[in-house]
Amino acid sequence: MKNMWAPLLSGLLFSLGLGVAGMTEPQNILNFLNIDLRTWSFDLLWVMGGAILVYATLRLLILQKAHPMFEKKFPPAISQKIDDKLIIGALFFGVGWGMTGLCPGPTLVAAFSFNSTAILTLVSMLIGMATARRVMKRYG
Amino acid sequence: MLSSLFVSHLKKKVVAFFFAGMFLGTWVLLLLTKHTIMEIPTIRSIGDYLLGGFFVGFGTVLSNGCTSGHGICGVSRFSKRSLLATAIFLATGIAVATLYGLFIEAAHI
Repeated sequence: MKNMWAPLLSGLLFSLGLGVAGMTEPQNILNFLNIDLRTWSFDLLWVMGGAILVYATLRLLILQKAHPMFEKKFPPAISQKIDDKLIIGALFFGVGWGMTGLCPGPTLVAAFSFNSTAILTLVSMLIGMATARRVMKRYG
Repeated sequence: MLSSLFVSHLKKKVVAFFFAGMFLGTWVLLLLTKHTIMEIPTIRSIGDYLLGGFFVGFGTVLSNGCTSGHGICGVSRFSKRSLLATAIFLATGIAVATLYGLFIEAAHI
């Protein structure tokens, strides 16, 4: 049970961070993605860049240790293969992101606040995920 | 995290606790700080949210990552897959949002 504090606190920090940074507000995302100079905003870059800086640095320190704080060993290395699924998936993701200004994390936070648009988007997202799962099962 | 409901690369219990933490964080913001999570967005139609949401979900599972998964966690590890995925979804996201701005939002003004 002890090691459930890690995901619980991570989830708490994640939603606080997204909320405070304004990333759950689709307009803030669209103001970055839409390169109309009259409304353009850097906010998303600051948030992503900040998060990358923190994790890239901490990760190097964490990897110096023999094992993670709450697990016996580090997870095995994952595939580095670039395949069609990665490219097609990222294309779909980008189109949907540009249409809505919403990606999974912020959608979940907004849905947890019982915003009806976010809940509808989340349901649609889950259907999209299930569909991709079926497509991958059928075609490999 | 969300896609692990469909692709089992994480322990279900870990995901459940992560989501519980997110729920808690959301309500800490709402109740303690009067912070708004999301105003009612008016700039896109409900059809855009439904179709766009579907695309985001579909793409997340197919490419095995999202803005946080590829864009933050993957890029921080200098993963080749994640760097490529992030470049692709940033480029398409910018293209689509800019086209919407030019042709769809402009039509309403």
